[in-house]
Amino acid sequence: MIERTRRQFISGIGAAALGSLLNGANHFPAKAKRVIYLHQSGAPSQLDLFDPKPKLAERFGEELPDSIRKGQRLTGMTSNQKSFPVAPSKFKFAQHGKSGTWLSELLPHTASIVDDITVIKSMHTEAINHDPAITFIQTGSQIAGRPCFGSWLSYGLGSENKDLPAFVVLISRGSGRRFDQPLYDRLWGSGFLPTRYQGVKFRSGGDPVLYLSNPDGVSPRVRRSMLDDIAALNESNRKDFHDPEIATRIAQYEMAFRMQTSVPELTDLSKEPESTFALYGPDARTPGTYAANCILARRMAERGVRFIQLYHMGWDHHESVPRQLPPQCMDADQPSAALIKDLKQRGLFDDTLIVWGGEFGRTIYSQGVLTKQTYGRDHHPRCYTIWLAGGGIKRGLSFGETDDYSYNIVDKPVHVHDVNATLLHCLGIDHTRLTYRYQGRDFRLTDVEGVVRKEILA
Amino acid sequence: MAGLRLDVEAEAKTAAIVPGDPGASRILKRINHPNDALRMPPAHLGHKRLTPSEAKLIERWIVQGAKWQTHWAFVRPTTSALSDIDAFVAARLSKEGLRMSVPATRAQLLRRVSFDITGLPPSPAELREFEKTGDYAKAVDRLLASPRYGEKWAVEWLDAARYADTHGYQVDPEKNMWAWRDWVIEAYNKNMPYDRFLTEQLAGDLLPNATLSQKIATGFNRNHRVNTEAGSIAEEFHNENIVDRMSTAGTVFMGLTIGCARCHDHKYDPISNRDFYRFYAFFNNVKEIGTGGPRDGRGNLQPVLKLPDAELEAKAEEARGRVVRQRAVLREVEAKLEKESLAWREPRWEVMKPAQLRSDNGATLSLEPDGSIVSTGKRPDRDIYTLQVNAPSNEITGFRIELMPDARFPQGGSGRGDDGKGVLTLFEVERDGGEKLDLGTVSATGQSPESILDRVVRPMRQLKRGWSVDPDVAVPYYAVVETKTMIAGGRFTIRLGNEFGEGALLGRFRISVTSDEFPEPVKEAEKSKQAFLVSHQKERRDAGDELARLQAEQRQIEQKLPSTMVMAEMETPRDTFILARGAYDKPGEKVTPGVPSFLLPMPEGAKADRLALAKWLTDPAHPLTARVAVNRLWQSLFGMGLVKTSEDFGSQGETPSHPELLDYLALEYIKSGWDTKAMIRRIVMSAAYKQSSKATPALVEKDPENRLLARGPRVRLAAEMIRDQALAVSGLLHEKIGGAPVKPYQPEGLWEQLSVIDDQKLYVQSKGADLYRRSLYTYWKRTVPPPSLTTFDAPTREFCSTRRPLSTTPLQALALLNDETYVEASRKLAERMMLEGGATLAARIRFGFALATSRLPTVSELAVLQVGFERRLAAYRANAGATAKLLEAGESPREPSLNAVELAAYTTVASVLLNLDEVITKQ
Repeated sequence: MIERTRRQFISGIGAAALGSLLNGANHFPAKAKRVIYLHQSGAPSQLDLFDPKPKLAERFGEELPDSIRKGQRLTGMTSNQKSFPVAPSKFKFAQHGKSGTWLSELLPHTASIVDDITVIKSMHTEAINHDPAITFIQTGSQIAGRPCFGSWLSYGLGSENKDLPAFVVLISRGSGRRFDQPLYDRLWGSGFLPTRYQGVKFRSGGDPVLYLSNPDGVSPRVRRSMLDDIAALNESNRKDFHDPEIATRIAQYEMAFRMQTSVPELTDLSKEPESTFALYGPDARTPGTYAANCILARRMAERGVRFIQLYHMGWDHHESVPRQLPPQCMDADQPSAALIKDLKQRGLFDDTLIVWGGEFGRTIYSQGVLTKQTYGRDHHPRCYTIWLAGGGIKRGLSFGETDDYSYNIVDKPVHVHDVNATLLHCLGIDHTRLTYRYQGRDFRLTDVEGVVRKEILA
Repeated sequence: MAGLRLDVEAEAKTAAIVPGDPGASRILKRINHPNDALRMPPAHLGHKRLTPSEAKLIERWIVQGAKWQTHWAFVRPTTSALSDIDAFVAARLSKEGLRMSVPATRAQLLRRVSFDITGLPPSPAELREFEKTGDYAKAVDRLLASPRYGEKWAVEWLDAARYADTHGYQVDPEKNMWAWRDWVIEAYNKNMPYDRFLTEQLAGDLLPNATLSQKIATGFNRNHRVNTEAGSIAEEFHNENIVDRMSTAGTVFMGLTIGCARCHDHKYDPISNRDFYRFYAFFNNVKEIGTGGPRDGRGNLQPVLKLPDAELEAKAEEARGRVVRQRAVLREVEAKLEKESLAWREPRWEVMKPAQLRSDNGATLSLEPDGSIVSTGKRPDRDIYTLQVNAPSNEITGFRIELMPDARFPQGGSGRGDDGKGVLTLFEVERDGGEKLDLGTVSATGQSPESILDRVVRPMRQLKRGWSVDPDVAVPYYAVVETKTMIAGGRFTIRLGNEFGEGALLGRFRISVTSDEFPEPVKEAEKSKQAFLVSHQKERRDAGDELARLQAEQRQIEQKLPSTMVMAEMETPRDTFILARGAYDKPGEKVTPGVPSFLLPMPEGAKADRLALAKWLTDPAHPLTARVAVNRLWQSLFGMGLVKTSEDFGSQGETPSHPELLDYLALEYIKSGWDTKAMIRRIVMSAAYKQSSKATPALVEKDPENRLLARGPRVRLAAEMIRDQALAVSGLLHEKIGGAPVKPYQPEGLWEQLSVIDDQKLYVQSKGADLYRRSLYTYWKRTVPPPSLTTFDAPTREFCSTRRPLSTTPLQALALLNDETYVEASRKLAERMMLEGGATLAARIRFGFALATSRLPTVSELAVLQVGFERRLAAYRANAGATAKLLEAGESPREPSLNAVELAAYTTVASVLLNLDEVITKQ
């Protein structure tokens, strides 16, 4: 009933599945219609991937100067460490493309798309542990309970496809640290927004959507006959009680029936040409991999899914960056780049926003013993790198600078709220005006902050 | 005007507002200012300009003298002339030119009130009785007396109190708070007065001569999440935990969003930043660790209360006795052996040179002259080596694995990992012919803290651990794997290596065997030889093994001893400071416990602790407590509170639809001695509640949310009720109250997809009757809550929630149609239709329809179901395979006497019934 009034205000029955707060009327013209959010869960090391510090090679093993650390807080994992030795990256960096964007040798495929993306090297956040940090980046608050980006967007813009959910979640495990990074349903939850705005998690094993398949022994014909009975009886009750909710339920049963066809059609990659699998790389044929999920993301973009949220786990490299990072990059590099190329060749790049990044950065000092061969890196919220691409975003830009240790930001800091404000802007939404009243307060994704960063807008 | 607070009368009246003089009131100039930059409220913050009529209203108010009023909810409820729910409702309706609807039918009413009081539908017998007598008061009293009453109302309180079976956050380990949950059910069933209900939960431990039950009740304040993620900062999460406690208390008892004053003075309500931390101080005096600290056998965090369990305690006592006795036996054996002079003999190890070497993933293995094996070439992440060996024909008591440093490996270590380590996660021995040896204890000369030696011989499927050396990598180490019994020699296949990953392969190693009686190496040998020998005599070892077994048994029993988390005050109170912008690491001024005194002053002289807080909250003069409580009761019965925002009675909350009625109910509640059952009875006895919920399009247009109450409530059932009803009407429901949580059907792999994978943390489905318990007993894992409930808007229980949203989604349709729970319930409901419904199709459908809807179908409804049945009967007749498969749904046995094809067709009819909007709705 909480939802009822709003729905009745915004739309007639037919539009229930497509209903949205803004009802198609954006605050200003949208550059992008949808989002593909490639969250790299666990926090990739900016020092080994995006933010080269060649001068540090000479400072191998030196103590991180206090003038850099400035007494900032550390996690419980390294706060007892007696020494904070500088661990320069073992990986080689080079400039790529016309833009001359720096990347490490671990991202050879990303190197081929640098002229299509904006790399922000001056990201910063507030949390220092995974749960609060992911929660923060996705909901604008470290404390659980607020809607995530995808929920805000499906609340704000609704769906473009009457046969599929507006907000879909795909999860893959990484090769870097296979079993150490949990996720949780709340991350794609709708918080205080009505439940129908929450993300629908697609799974690689079993039903792609929970309870999607008919039970064993129920054929499509039997199911259709049952649905016809349900619709007829619900309709007779509706005529008796005149509750618009009954009409909504009738419509949602039909949507469920359509999903039984549309979702398997969507997740069936068997008709993809060989060239697709070649583009996305060797993992692409294995269901549940990041590569396979990137193909699914493109297929969802084609079908009008509004918010496509990927999580790739396994970036939390506390102990052995040189050993754990390369296989993790092998998972993520080619499919991410392939997705950009694929969207471009299909004419979807210009109206799709793509976000690639983790929840914070990693420390220049080694967690655990530093040796010539190996080093670990702890969590670091004060600076990290993400990249953005697609509708409304500049192409071939490298934005912001960190200090000599990639420890503090020295130029153009970009806060998590700024990114979210900017993304909403590209989607035609004023982040201060996409609000929902709860507990007497108008909440929004960017809390009370967030600045649209015009510098990175095309 | 920066910093000006218009909600503070004195401040506003300095210049902004001059009563009676609109010309001098600067506020009007600013509201009407033509310049965007100067106009208030500020356009650059996204605020809309006030409409001319709004501006006029303010002007008129100033002309009339600009009278200030305290927010309604912060003033004590007042009595009014009316003294009956229906009088208030009728008065409001007549203002709108509306009237109440006709009463609901008897069947509708009994169905409505049964769900509202017990969360379950009425039985056919109850319906028959009520249809006959119409004795509504009797029916209500019967329902209120049912033990199902406590279970229904507990669900709402569990949401508010964020009850769960895990601690939450990323790691989400298990905890055990169901003693508290059962306390809640019992409190409702015993009709504990609300003031006591509140007091025992807030401060049961501080009551004079606190009983066990009163202490259990304080678990209310320990239900919040705890972040046990490695590396979390204890002070940071201590702060979060306290804030959660006080925000929850503020919301559920006072309908106040106190949490808003965490960083600054509340923007809308008169709660200052200082008030926030004074309130915080009440909850800050518990001996606890912000990130949890050690967990007891039940996963609970200190302070913990041990709960009595006579049977288990007796068992534990016996087990402890056995341990004590065995210890004495052991001492005797040792004393005896020490007197004997034993001959020392160095363990003799015989190196085994493998006849064949092979690696699974491509490392190159070669044999050195000293019998060691060296791994070179390709370095895969994981690799298992297979060695064919010929062991001497003597009996074997142990295997030794030597790791030998070598300059070819990083840091001159013995392994190929980046740090020169090799990790051993697997060592298994197979006799020629396929028999796998049963291996015993593993010991080593040095191991890293992360090592779990036993996993080397008993690996887990997912979480690979084992032996990695520590601290120095460039020295030799060895591990010994004992056999459980003497093994005859012969040809063996040994498989060993690293399945953990990271390329930390064994670099250079050597395998030996021994026939000595005590192959165990290591630490023991550093002690005196005599002691070592004694400790390794068979007699001593047998006695020691027995002691270890008994100790393990004792531990196992003791871990089962129930406990629950409670509140307990520290002897030396912890200081509370105002935290700058809410940050735990920026303490400022020190404060003492105190309440937002604008509501009601704290009694003077009382010690400011949680008990005083409870007394303050339950003081009849408190403006909020009773209003908030009765409003939630109303919300539960009507689908929406008189104050719609049941979580916020502050100035930003919605104003009540019937303010006088709310006050009347609040005062009656207090007058009755906070009698909850009496209040529920009073509400459900009203004509307003008993109305038909049928609307007209015009009424829906005028009052879509039914705030005016010109019709009865029509609200979708809560998640738990939907499942419980399916279990009830199918005859599956198991009505046991309380106890450990249960794990009903859940799609496979849900936990595994997201969580840290550990064989002990998989979802292990319950068996038998536990599959059919009421849904409030379903195991609640916060990071992956039960999907059959969250699909129907149950919250995640991560934080306080006093109001569930109600959505209508396609996922709900899929769940009701396809979830095993509902397919099985349909099958069992179909059996009931065939067994109890009569002989004809029409009679059986009528019977099932009545069970699901509490009414009989109309002629056309019956026709729809009959035609559908016949169509599907034909389909199943033509497909025996489908019939058999459908009837396999669920674990409950099938009634063998029934014709399978017919049962399948009836199952589809039953499923149709359980999917009807009418069935999952209270109407």
